[in-house]
Amino acid sequence: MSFRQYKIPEFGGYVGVIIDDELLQKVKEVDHGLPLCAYNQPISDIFLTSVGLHLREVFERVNFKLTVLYQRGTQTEDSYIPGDGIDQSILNYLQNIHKTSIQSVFRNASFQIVICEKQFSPNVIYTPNLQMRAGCEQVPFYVKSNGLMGQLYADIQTPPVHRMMGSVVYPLDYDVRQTHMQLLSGVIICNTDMTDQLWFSFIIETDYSQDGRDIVGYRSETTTIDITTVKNIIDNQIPESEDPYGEGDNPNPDGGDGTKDDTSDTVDEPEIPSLSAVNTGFISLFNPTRSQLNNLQDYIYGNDWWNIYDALKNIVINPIQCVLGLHIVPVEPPVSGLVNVKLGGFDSGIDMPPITNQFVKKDCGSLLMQPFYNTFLDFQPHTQVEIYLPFIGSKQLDSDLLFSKKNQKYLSVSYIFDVLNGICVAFVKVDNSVMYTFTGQCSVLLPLTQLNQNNTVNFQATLGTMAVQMKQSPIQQGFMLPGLIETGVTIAKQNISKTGSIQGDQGYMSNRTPYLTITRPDLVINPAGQRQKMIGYPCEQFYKLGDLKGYTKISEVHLQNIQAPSVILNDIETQLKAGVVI
Amino acid sequence: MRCVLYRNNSPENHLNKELTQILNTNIFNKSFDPFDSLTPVILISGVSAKTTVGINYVMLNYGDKDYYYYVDNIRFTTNGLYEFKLRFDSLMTYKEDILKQTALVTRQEYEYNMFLPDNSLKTTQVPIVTQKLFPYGFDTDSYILVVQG
Repeated sequence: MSFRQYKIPEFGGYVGVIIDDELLQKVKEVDHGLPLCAYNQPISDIFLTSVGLHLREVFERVNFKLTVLYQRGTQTEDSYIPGDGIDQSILNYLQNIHKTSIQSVFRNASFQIVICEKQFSPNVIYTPNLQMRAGCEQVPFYVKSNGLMGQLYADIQTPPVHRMMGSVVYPLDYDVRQTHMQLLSGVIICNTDMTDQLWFSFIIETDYSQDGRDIVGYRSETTTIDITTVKNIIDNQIPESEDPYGEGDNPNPDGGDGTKDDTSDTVDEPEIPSLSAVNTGFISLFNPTRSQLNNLQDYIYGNDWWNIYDALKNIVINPIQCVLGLHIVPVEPPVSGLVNVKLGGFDSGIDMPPITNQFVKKDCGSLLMQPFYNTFLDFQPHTQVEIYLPFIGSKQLDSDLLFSKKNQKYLSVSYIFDVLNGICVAFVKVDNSVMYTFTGQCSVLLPLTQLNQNNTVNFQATLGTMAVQMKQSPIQQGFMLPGLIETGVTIAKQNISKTGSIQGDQGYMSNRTPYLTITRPDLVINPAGQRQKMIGYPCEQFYKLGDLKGYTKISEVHLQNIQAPSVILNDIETQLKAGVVI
Repeated sequence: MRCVLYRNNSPENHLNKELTQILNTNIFNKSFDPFDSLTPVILISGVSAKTTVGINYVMLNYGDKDYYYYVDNIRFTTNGLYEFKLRFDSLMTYKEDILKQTALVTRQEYEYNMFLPDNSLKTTQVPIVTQKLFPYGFDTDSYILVVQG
């Protein structure tokens, strides 16, 4: 035998009992079902309804099976002699009402558990004043049980523990009361090392019926219930399978029981592409200085027509046609030494640093994102964050991603540039994981010929038009609604784009450092503690009201064990929902 | 029936009232059942007009239980008694039972979660706007020359 204990939070103690299988069988065979539980704490005459509440939750999950033990007994002054016949009509009746009635009893019953101060003995347990029976006389059937109780006491060789009796008196429904029956339910919570299961039992006692027939002992045996389930209930924990929002790994087809797996991978920004237009043999990229460009210009346009080499150069090739492009980018490309620039196979005699990779990475650093209020106001839709990215423009960011209620987050920006085409890609990362990717155009085209000049002007004009359209769109679409603002109607503020698309020349002339613009609500701060004291703050948790103090407003309560008319119960509930001060 | 007249210094939504006892007496009603009416009228003698000014709360003992009432009105009757119009205080009367209840608490003074939306908060129409520069920008420009071959 072993002693198992289960913690009861409200009480701060433990409950548990040991009864071995052999003893259990005796109880089943002989007794009405012995009301017995045990405490391992030195408690004296404590009236514990909280324990009863837990037990009721246990009972709601147990399927009971009715077994009639005795009927038609004979009651003498000091003993009860059970009869041996079975009245089938009564049995049928009881079986019919049993299932619903028993369950409803335990749903509605108010359990009262009496802790016996002294160590367990039959006399203590069966002292009449410990019996809680309503509406009927004391029935001295306990005399009959003394022998068994003594046996039970002798068999339990547990260390001295304080034991308690759990019983409930609750009338069955009206039809049952017609037969003068009263319900007395006893509880045995026990477990064995062999089964590791709990066993419950209760008895139903009857008062004397008017015609002298009575049913004194029929007991409802229980099915067993897994000990973990009971322990969870006693520990006031909701079993996993009971709450669809609880932890689970087997999604329910009706919804709920999701995995709640919130692990997340870090999305790294990409490395620069491994293949490049450089070294393909078709084109070459150089990173010249201004003086080197001047020299190249002299080579291309500064022809001496009397010079045989220049004349041949211009007849065989046109050097300017070999120059595919010249532009400015806002980064330093990787270069390696100096190489002679060849145009159409002719050596120009001008050395320039060759670019070794057309892709360049640039890190703009990171910002620590600290919550301003550290409340819901730091998140959408209250706090809005806009990021300005050079060569791209302003972009809206989701403040839900940038702020955390647990940790401070870092927001970082990096770019990858294609110096050949002037395209850039910006990566906005939150805690080193890429959350946003934006693209832009960063190069400033320099015209080399008449054709180049026309294309450049047209390109920039197109970009400029796009930018103007983006700037104007909120107003053009009538989002401002100025009339509503004047009349004082509260509407959500519109987010007005602070820049359009900034590309090419525009980006080159605009701000060259990324920045954040954070728009936060300006909270009306009340004098210290007044709001908290008057109306509290959101809670949305279940609490025992006695555990709280101060202003408390509830949304749901199932008032229990208050002996008052419904009109008063309704009034209490209404006041609790309106807010009270505890 | 025993009746205690008080001065109540607490708001009605307080579960536990801060009371100052003024008079401990009995009521003249022949019969009184607290559940007959939530706004009963009781008759009391031995109260001076000066005393009644401070009375705004009453406790009636019925059976073994105390029942608490607000005093809505006090009237002097022709037969020398004072008539108290009462209104039942269910919070104070059943405060012990109420404290045993478990409820879904939506707002609380000390147990709260500030990340839950709170529609009671007010903000001004003028937001707080701040700007933060990233540490590094683009301060270097380069010429890129692209040639055939």
